[in-house]
Amino acid sequence: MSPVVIAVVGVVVLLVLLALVVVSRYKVAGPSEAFIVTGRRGKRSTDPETGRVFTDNSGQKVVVGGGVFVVPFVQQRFTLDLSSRHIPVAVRGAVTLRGVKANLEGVAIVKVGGTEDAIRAAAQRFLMQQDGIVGFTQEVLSGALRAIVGRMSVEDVIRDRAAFAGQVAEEAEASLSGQGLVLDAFQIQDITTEGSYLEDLGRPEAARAKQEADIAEAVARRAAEQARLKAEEEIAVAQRTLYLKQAEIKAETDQAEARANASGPLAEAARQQDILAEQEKVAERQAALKDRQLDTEVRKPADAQRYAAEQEAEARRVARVKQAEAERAAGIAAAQAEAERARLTGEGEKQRRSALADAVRLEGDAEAAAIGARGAAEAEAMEKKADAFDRYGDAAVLQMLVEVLPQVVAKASEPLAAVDKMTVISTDGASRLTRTVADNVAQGMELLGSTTGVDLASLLKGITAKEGTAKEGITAKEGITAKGEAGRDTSENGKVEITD
Amino acid sequence: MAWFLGLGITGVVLLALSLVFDGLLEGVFDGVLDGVLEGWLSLPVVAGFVAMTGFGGAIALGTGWTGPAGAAGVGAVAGVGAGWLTYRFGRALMRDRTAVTPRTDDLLGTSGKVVTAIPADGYGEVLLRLAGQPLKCAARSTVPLARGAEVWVEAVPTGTSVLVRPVDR
Repeated sequence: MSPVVIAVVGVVVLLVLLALVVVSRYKVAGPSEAFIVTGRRGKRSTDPETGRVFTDNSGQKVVVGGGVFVVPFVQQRFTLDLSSRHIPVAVRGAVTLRGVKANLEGVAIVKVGGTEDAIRAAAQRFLMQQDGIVGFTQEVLSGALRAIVGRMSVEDVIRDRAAFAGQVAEEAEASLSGQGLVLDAFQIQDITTEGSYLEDLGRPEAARAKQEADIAEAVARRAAEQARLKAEEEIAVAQRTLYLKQAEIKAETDQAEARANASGPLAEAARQQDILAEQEKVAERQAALKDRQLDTEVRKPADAQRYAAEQEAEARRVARVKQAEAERAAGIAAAQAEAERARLTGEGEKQRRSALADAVRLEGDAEAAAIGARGAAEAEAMEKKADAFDRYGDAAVLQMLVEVLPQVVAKASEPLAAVDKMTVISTDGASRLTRTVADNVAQGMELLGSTTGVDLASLLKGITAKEGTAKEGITAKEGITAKGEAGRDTSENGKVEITD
Repeated sequence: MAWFLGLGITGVVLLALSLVFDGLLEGVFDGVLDGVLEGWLSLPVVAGFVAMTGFGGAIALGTGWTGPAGAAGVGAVAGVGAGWLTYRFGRALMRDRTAVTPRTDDLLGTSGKVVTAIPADGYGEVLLRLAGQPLKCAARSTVPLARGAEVWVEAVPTGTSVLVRPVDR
């Protein structure tokens, strides 16, 4: 091999190696990692406010998602993982705001912050112990969660996400930010309480939901039952229709069958009927023949005899009718004559009677006038007499009574006068007779008192005892005068009439 | 001839060793040459110069273009060229600051939206955009802000919390 060829190959190899060496020192950071390149001196700079001169940390380079040329041996490159870390957090028996103890399980997503400051801070703390981030943060967050829950009630932890997030942010600011860690998310996964606090929270709603469900179920069941019953009803109706149809068909078939079965006997019967009909015809013919024989032998002669009797009876009847008509006409004429006569007699009688009535009426009028005049005269006389009595007083009345009494006794003894012969059989002897008269007087006076209310005895007693009292005396006196008068009137007729 | 080839091979081997044992050769001097071995005297530059000088001299001599003295001159020029190129390449890469790491102060003045309502005396949460990526921060405000309100970042007290005020339009 010629030295020239070796030299050319050597040049090519040299160029390739040179490129490789240079490129190999250029490091590229992945999207989820950060490079911290140290080893260079920082630049000197001056604080614009204080004027103090200091060396900044630009020599410590932080590269995220880019490339950096790392000078071998002079510079050192470290890698920090920026990806999220899943940290389970559990707290037991944390006391909430209102004293309810709660057990909480949560999860936190933590990562190293993406900014240069955060990466520097995190690199200082965790670069060589990146696996320790989880354990470290877990403890910090457990304490933070206990503190957060202590400031909130159980209901708020469950429901108020914003408030919880605010509390978490506050805690994270206090504990994590200084270490360059970012709390991406912090959620409560599970929360339980000691006792039945959470269950009790949900019980009213659960009860309501159960109630609604029960109601809905009952309504649905009712609807289902109604639908089922309706369907059954329709089925029953349909079955009834079916049975009716079947029965109908069966009846028809039975009928047809019966008809078929009966056709034989019917035909037999029809034949017998025909025979009977023929026999009937024969009988009819025989009857007709017999009838005709009877006609000629019996009926015709009987008809002739009946006709003769009828004619004779008719003639008799006509004769009697004629005779009765003649008698009736004569009767009518006689009755008419009698009626005419009676009418004429009635009219004459009527005229006579009316004349008679007129006479009587005129007579009555005259009599009435006479009575009226006499009454007036009597009334006047009575009035005068009353006046006189009034003036006479009781002495006069007594006088009058005394005048009358003999007559009364005479009348009372009149029945005895009519006695022709009297035999007195009494232990008292003949004195019994005078006692009978006295009894009659006494009984008459008693009768007068019970019927008129005038006690004649007491009246007489009162008059003799006293010179008379006021109006009562007068009334009694008038009654007595009327009585006396009546007695006088009737005495002329020879009897004593006792009236009111 | 052999000298030239030996020089070139030595340079190549040096480079190969420095690639395999990254930084080892620089460490041999252990800080004695700290700072010296950067730039012009860095190992790739020196090795490149040596190897290129040897191989360049060998090529010039082998082709019969010049004598041994001329070949040494040609090799030296080639070596200097290679060293300079290596130096420039390294410098270019070293100066290349592709990604600027975001800083907390960059948040100042950015706008964002409230994702958890900010109470009057506590922390809420705002979603900001920093260096093209969303960043959720705890936030305080002098006035209560409802969720969805647009805010400006007024101050950045800590790396993870900001002080905001609502945007007045």
